[in-house]
Amino acid sequence: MKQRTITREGKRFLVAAFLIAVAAVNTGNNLIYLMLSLMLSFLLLSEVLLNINMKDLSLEVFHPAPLFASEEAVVTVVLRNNKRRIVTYSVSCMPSGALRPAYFVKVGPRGKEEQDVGVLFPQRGLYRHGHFPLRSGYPFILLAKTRRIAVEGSVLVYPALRDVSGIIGEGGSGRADAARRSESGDDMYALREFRHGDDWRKIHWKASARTGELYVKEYAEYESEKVTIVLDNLLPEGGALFEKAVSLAASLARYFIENGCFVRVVSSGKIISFGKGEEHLFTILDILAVIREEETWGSPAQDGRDGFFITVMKSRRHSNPYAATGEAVYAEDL
Amino acid sequence: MPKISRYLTALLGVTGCIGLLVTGEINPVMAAGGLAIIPGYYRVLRGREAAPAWVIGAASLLTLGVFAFDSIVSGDVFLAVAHLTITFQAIKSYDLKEPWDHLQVYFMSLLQMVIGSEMSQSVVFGVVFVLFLVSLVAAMVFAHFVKEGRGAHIRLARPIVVISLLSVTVTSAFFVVLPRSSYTFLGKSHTKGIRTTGFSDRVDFGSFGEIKRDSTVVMRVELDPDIPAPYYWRGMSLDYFDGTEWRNSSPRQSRIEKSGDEYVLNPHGRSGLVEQKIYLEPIDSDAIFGLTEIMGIRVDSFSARSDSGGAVFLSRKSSRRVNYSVLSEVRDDYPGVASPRYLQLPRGMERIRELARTVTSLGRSDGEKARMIERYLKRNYSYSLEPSPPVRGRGLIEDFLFYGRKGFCEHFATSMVLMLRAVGIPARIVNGYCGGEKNQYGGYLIVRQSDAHSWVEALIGGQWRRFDPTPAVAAPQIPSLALFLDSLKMAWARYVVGFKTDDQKAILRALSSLLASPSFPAVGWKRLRMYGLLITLIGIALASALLLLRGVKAGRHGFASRKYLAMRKLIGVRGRRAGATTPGEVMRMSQGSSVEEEIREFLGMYVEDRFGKRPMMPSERKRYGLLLKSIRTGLKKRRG
Repeated sequence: MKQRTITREGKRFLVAAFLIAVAAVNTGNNLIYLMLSLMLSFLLLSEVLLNINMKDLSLEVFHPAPLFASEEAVVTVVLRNNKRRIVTYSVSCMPSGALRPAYFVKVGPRGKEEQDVGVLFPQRGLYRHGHFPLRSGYPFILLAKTRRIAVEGSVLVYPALRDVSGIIGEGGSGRADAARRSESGDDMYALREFRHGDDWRKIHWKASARTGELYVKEYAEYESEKVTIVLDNLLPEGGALFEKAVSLAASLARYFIENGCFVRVVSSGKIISFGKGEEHLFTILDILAVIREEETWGSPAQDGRDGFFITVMKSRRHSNPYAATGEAVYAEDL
Repeated sequence: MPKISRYLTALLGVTGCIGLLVTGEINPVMAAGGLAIIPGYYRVLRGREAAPAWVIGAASLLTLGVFAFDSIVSGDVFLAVAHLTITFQAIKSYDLKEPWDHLQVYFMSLLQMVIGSEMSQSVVFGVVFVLFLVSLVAAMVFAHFVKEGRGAHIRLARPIVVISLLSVTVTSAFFVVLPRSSYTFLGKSHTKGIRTTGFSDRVDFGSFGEIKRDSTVVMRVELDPDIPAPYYWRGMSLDYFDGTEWRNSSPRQSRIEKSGDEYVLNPHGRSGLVEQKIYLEPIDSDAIFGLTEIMGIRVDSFSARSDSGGAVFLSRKSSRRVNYSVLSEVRDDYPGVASPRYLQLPRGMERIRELARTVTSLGRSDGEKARMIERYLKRNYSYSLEPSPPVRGRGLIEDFLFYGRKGFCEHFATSMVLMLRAVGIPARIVNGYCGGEKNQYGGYLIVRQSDAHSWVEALIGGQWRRFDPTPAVAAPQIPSLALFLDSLKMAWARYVVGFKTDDQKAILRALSSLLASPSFPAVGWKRLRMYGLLITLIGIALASALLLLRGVKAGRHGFASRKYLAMRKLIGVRGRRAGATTPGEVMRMSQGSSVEEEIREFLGMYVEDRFGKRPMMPSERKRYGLLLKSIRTGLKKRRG
C-alpha cells in the first residue's frame, strides 16, 4: 500500500507551475513554455524516481539484546535494496516501538545497510512486526511517499524489571543472602554441559579437557536455596495491577537467580520448574512475557520440597491457594 | 547548512540575476543594488552570520520605495519587477538562516527566469537556462537531504548528473507536446524589437545610412527549392517624395483572405513556387518580407493585411520573433496598375528633369529608358555610406546627382524614381533587404540590418519591373566560427523560440509514418545533418557527464592513493582483482623489473602515508610524484 503526500514546498511549486502555465498560455511565449516544461518535468520525475527509489526494498529487524517493557533498547533495522542496478537514496523507516525513524542515506544495488534505532515498548508481550512504514521524498522535496512493507517475525518484550530489594521481606532476603554465601553447597552430584549464564568457576576443567566440550559441576539443590514464586494470575481481571504483578514476579525471579537461588515460578496452568542461571531466568521471562489471567488455578498444591514461597498478589482483595504460605507481596503496593 | 548547499544557493541566486541581465533590458541604475549580491554570497560561503533583522527590513523597505519610483518613472511595471527581484536576491543573500530561506532563493530565481524568458529570446538565455536547470536539480536534491537533516558528506554527483540528463529529456518532451497558443491575450510583449527604419508609412530620406552600418541579424531564411541570388526581400513600397521624406500616399490596408492555414494574396498552384521559411527577429514594424511576387503566406496571426503598394502586414500586438512561410513566384516583374501618384515629383526638379531627358534621349521604349537610367547611375556615381552633407538651399537629390556624386542605396533609388517620373514612367521606391549570406552549417541565408536596401519598381507595359541602380559593393567575409555560432542561434530560434503547433503536427505525422512504414523511411541529407548535430550534442553531454563521474571517482581518493592506483595500473594490476591486491603483492609482481627500487620506495612512502598515519610532507609528495614518473618512464622503455 502506498500513500503519496505533497510537501509544503511541493504545494508552492504547484502554485508557481500553475501561474507559469497561465503566463505561457497568455503570452504564447515559447520560452515560458520551456520554463513550464521544466517545472512539469520536475513534478513527473519526482513521482517516477520516487517510485523507482522505493521499489524492490525489503526490511529485516534484529534485536541484539533482550527487550524489556518501558525500557529503552536498541534494535537493528536492515534495509535491503533488491534492485539490480539502481541505488536507493534517502529512505526512512519507523519500526514499531521506535523512538525515531531509521534513516538510510544510500543503499547500493543488491546491497544492504544497517541502522540501530532506539525502541521503547510500554508493555510486555509478543509483538508481530507486520507492516512497517517506509518513507522517502527523494529526489526532490516536492513529494513524499509512504509504503508499508511487510517484515517477517516478531519481538518478545519481557516484563519491566525493577529493584525489589526493598519490597521483599526478611524471609526472602535472608534466603537470597544464604544462597549467595553458600555458593550452592559442596555436594557435587553430577556433570552437565555448560549453558549460557553458568558460573565459569563451576566448569569442570578435567572433564572439559577430556571431551573437548565445556562441562559444569552440578551441586545438590539444598532446600535452603530453593525459592518458589507464585504469581496470582487468577481472574477477575486485574488490568494494570496484573501487569505490575507480572513485572514484580519477573523482578523477583531475577533477584533470586542473581543471588544463586534455584527458582521456580508457579502460576495458573503454568509451572516453571526449579532452575538457576541466566538461561533459566530467560525461560521464566519468556513465559511471563505472554502470561495471561486464567479462570481456574490448575497448578498442583505445594509439597515439602518447594523451598521458600513468595506469592505475588494483584491486591489484597484477591485470594490464592498459595497466599497463606511464605511471604506475599502486593502489586497494589507499588 | 552544508557548504555545498550554500554554494548551490549562491549559484542559483546569481544565475537568476544573469538570466535577467542577458536580456539586455535591465537598467543598470535601477538594478545597482543587485551588486550587493557579490559580498552577500561571499559572506555566506565564508559561513558568516546573517545580517540583523532590522537591516534586512530597512533594505527591503528602501527597495520597495525604489520599485515604486521605478514603476512610475519608467512606466514599465514589468521591468520594475525585474529590477526588484535582482535587489531582493541581493538582500536575501544577507538573510539565509533556515533551509526555507534557501528555497526562497530558488523560487526567486525561477521567477527571474520566467521574467527573463519574456524579455529575451536570445540563445544566451538558452545557455543560462541549462545552467539554471542543472543548478536547480542539484539544489533540490541537496535540499531534500538537508530537510532530512543529512546534508553533509553525501556523494551525489552521479545521481545529480543522471537526474539532470533526465530533466533535460523530459523537459524537451513536455516542451514538444504541450498544447500551444500563439496569441497574446492580456498585456503586451516585453521583448524589445530591433530598431529599424524604412518600414513604415513615412521614411526620412537618408535613414538607411545608419542601419547599413549595423550587422545585427534581422532574419534567417530557408529556401525550398534553393534558388540562386539575387534575393530581394521586398518590404514596403512608397510613392510620394517631398524632397526630404518618402511617404505612402495611399496607406489604406485591406484584409487578406485566409484559405486553410494560408493567407492568399494571389490564387496559385503549388508548382513553380519558392517557399521561404523566414525567422524574423523582433523588429519595430509589422511589415513582413518575402521574394517578389508573394502569392501566399502561412503564419500564426489573427489576420494579415496588404496595402496598395503590395506590402504585407501582420496583426501583431507584440514585437517578437515571427516565423512564417512565404510562397512566391520568383520573377522580376508582375502585373500593376498605373496611377497618377506614381508620377508625382517634388518642386525644383528642372535640372533633374533635364538630366533624365539627356540620359534617356536615345531610348526608344520605357524599358530601354529605364535601363539607361539604371546604367547611368551605376556607372557615374559611387557608393558611400558617408556622403558629404548637402549645401543649404540645395535639394538632397540635386546635391547627389550634380555635386556629391556619392551616396548609398536611397540616393540611387530615389534618383532613379525621380528621373523615371521625369520622363513619364510611373515608378516607386521599394524598401526591404537585399542579399544575405549563405550559412553552410545550417543551409540557410542570414540577412542583416546592413542588407537593408532600397530599389526601384517601374511600371512598364502594365508590369512592375524591378531596377536596382545601386552599384555593387563587396560584402565582408564572415568567419566560419561566427557562421557556426549563428547556426546555433538559428537552431534555437527555429526549434525552441519558434516552435509552433505546425511543428507539433509535423512531429506527430513523422512519428505515425515511421510506425506505419514497414522499413525505415528515407532521410534527406539536410535532416540527416540535423540528426547528426543532435546526436553530437547528446554525445557531448554524455561524455561530459562521464568525465564528471570519473573526476568524482578520482576525488574519492587522497593524493597518495590516487598515485598508488595509477602505479598499480602501470604494472598491470587491473580488473576485478585489482581491489584485493595488497601493496606487498604489487611489490612481488614488480620484482626483477628495472624499476624495482623505485617501486619499493614508492610503496614504502604510500604505506607510511596511508596506514602509518603520517601524511607526506610537501617535499615527500614531490618525491612521490617523481618516483611515479620514473616508474612510468622505466616501464615504457622496457616495453619499447
